[in-house]
Parts: sequence; structure tokens; C-alpha cells
Amino acid sequence: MTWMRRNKLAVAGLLIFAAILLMGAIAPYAISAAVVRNVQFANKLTAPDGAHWFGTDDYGRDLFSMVLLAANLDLRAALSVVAAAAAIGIVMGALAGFIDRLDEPLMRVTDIFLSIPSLVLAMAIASVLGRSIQNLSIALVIVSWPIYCRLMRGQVLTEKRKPYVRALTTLGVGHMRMIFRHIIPNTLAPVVARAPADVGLILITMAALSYIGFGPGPYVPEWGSLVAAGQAYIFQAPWLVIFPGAAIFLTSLSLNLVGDWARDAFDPRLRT
Amino acid sequence: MGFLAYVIKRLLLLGLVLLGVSIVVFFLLRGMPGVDPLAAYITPGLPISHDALNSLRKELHLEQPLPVQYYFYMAGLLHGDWGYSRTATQNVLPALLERLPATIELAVAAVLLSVLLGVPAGVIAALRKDRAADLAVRVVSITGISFPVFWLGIILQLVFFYYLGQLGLPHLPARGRVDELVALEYPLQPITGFYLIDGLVEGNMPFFLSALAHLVLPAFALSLISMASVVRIMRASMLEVLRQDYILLARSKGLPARVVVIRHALRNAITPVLTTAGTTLGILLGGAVVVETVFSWPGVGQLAAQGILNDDSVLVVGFTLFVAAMMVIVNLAVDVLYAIVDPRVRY
Repeated sequence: MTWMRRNKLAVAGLLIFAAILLMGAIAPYAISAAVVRNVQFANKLTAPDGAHWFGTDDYGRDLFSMVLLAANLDLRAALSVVAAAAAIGIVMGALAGFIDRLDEPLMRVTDIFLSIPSLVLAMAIASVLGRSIQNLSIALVIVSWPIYCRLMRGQVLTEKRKPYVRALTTLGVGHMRMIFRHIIPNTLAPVVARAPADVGLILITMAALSYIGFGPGPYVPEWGSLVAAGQAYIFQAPWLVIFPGAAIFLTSLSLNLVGDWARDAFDPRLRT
Repeated sequence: MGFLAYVIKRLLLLGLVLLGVSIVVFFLLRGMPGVDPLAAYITPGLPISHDALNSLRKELHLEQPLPVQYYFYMAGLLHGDWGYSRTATQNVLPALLERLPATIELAVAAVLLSVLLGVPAGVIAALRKDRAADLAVRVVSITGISFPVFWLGIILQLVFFYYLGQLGLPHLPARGRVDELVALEYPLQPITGFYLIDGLVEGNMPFFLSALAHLVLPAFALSLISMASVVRIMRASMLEVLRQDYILLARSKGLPARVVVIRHALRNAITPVLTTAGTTLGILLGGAVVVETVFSWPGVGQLAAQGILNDDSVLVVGFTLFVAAMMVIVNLAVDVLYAIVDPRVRY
């Protein structure tokens, strides 16, 4: 209870995110997929009212349903991108930190990746692979793992000098067992603490790239593309832009509130 | 090691980074599994003869092994031949350079805004650590990084262009770099390509004012991307400096708090903000793709976004190399300036 009182912002963030996650998870079961294909031009661009809480879009579809269905896609994509990037980065970073031979080459590779802004590199990779949400996710994983790799390597470099590691080496514990059973579990916390804020960042980046043209088209609800589609009617029907954008904002805000707390709590270097 | 040796060492190191980037970029264009490198050069839907395909393949050295292809690609890059962009209907490099002044003008305005607002906010947060003002700055900066910048841009257009206009109040323009009618009536001879500078130099005030008004909304939207990091770095760095002995000495000499903070603490605390300029610029150039699209700002980012819609990967990949090169140059400049200005930096 004291913890909750002292970290009101983080608790608020956690509650909001849990609520959005829950809504996103049940959306495909609660809302019929037919809504997306239920094009009725006679009903297009009606203002929010009791029947359509967020109004209707340029295809005459219920915007509230579209935003909820999009939550499912966006959250699933952002969570899996961060999970994959963190997993790859953690393993690579542990290898780089523990096995001297791998350190130089892996660090130079991360240098190259980190010397290009991630949004720009992701854009290039996704453009070469072909425009789709799937390729966009792959591109975001490719640009996101190096930072986890660097963090993990730093952790492992200090961890491997600890007596218990030497003791286990003397006992004949092999490299792989040492890395996966002992080193990674002991050094994981500060690295994983980055993840919540990162999910927020990936969510925004993905929506932004989807907005500029990587989006899945009008029949797959996705937040960034909903905003892009609504922009044409901004002065006529501003709710088309306001609601999906607010969903992105609220989700990333909740994740950043949690992330801000997690970083302070788990990153000893930032303690002031 | 002398200063010159330091500069040469930095140059070599950054050259290596660029070499690495060029390999990544080359791999994207030519070595991606399951992607035919020719596809990037062909307009989808347009018929093309076998002979034309073959001569294109020969011209791009696509029958050669990858290392040989890389040699020709690199030679092209160094000679300014970055490949033909279908979107710009010209070579990638001149197309980007032509639009660069618009983007630099926007990015510089965004940096100025984020420093002017971010530095004082960070200082106040540090001075009032763990008090209400610190919390307020923290909440505002977290809110700032949570905004999807394209959404914020559209909302800004809605409020400051449309709603203010509807109310008959003075409102800000929402699209482009300058009012078309103003540009027709008061034409500008391009000198530098920066409208604000050219307008001032030529004494063309109507043009200058129109360009300035057009800059406000996109610059503010873009500044939000870098503002939160400026605040955060400034706060941490200020806290660090305030703990130093010389600050204690300055205080114990009885100097007024304002002098201690501004003359003694701030001057030392602000350097981390400056040294991250290269990274910040890179983030802003990424953000520019989005912001320029929202505000129809005719810069490099908008061109890259058009390239995406056209599946013009020669252009999009070229843009990536361009951004990386700009970051490297700015980083080098910052490092060298820093070594000149700050005697504590050992090289």
C-alpha cells in the first residue's frame, strides 16, 4: 500500500494500460468482424451520438468498434516487437559480454545500427521488404534489439567478475549453462525495466510509419491508418482523427508512466 | 596526442561508421533474401521489355557477385550517383540536397524551441528536486513524449488554423512553407534556400513574415520530439553539477543564488545537451518525415514519405544513408568544437 501511495503515477499508468489491454484483448470476440466490411455510405461521417459513441467514419462504419479492433492489432504488434527485440538483444548482449571473442564484432554491429535513427532505418527496411504491418514489425525488431544488446553487455561485464561466477567456472560449469542459467537471470532486471517505455515508443513509431504509408489499408483497423484516413475530413469530421489518436496517446502515456517508474526503480545508474 | 591527430582519429572512426552504414544500405538494396533488387528500379504496372530489363541489370552490375557489386555501388556513392529515384524523377542525392534547406530550417527552429523551453524546465526541475515543480515538469515531459506527433500536428492545424479562423481571429497557416499569393506578389530570389534568411537579406518583409508564420506549427510539433530528452538530460546534469564543491564554494562566498545557478552551474551543466546534438538531429530528421507529411512541408522527409508510397526503395534507402551521413558530420563538428571550447577535454 505504501508503494502504491508513493508511486501514484505508475499505478495510474498500470491501471489505464491494463484496461486498454483488456479491451483490446476481448475486442475481436465482443465485436463482429463484419463491422469492418459493413460499408454504408449513407451513414458516413455522422457525429458522435448514443448509437455511435465515436461517430462513423468515411465508410459509414462505427468508429468506436474500429478503434477497439485496432487496439488489438496495435498492442499485439508492439508487444511482440519489444518481446522479440528484448529476447534477441539480451542473448546477444550476454554472449558479447561473456565471450571476449564475440565482444568486438557484436559491438561494432550495434554501433552501425545505433548510428542511424531507428525510425529512418525501420522505414528503409520495411520499404525494401514491402509495405505491410508484418514487415513493419520485422523492421522494428531489427532496429530495436541493439540497445538491449548494449545494456545487457554492460551488465554482464560487471557480473562476470563476481566471485560466484568464478566459483561456478571452477566447478566446471560450461559457457552456455553459465550464461543462460546464472548470468542472464541475475542481470535481467535493469534491462527489462526498459521494456514498458519501449512498448510505448514502438507503438507510436509503428502508428507514425503506418500513418505515412505502411498501413494495412481501409479494411484492417489500425490506429495510425485510421488517423491518416480521417485527416482528409479533419475540418468536417474532426472525431475521425481525434479518437484514434487519443487512443494512441493514452496507451503510450500509460506505458511511459509505468516505464518512468521502472527505469528509476531498476536502473542504479540513474538513481540521484 | 595533438589536436590535429585527434581530429584525424575522429575522422577515421566516423569514416568507418559510414562504411558500415553503406554496407547495411547496400545489403538492403541488393542482398535482401526474397527481394529482387531490380524491383526497386521498375515502375510497377508499367510494361517493360526483356531487353530493357537486361540492359538495366547490366548497368547495375547485377550479374556480378555481391562484393563486385558493392565496389561499383560504393564508387557510385562517392561520385554522387546514389541511384535514380522514380519519385523525384532525378538522382537521389541532388533531389535530397535541393530540399535540404527546408528541412534544416524546420529542424533548427525545432531545436531552438526545445532548448529554449527545455533547458529552463530542466533547471527548474533540478533546483526544486522532488517538489511540486519537479513533478509538474516530469508529468509534462512524459505527456510530451507520449504524443503521437502526427496526431498532435493535425490537432494543431484544427485548433490554430481552422477553429481560430472560424472565429474570425488571426490564425496560423497549416500547410506549406510560405503563402502562394505572397510568394507571387513578393517573389524571392533564392540565395541560401532558407526562406527566413533570404527574406531578411533581401529585405522582403512580407515573404519573411509569411515564412515565419508557416514555420510556427510544424516547428512546435517537431520540437516536442526532442524536448523531453533535453529536459531529462538537463535535469540530471544540473543535479550532478549542483553537488560539486565549487558550487558550495560559490554559495559560501555569499553569491546570490541567481548568479550561482546561471553563471556557475548552468554553463557547465549545459554541455551534455550540446554533445547530444548529433543524436538529436537524427531523431528530428526521422520526425521530419512525419511532420513534413502532416504540414505539406517540402523538405527531404516529405520526399522520403512520397518514396514510401511509391515503393521507391532506392530513394528511401538513399534517405537513410543521407541521414546517417548528416548525423556523422554533426557529431564530428560537435566533438571538434567541444575539444576547442572545453580545455578539460583530453584528446
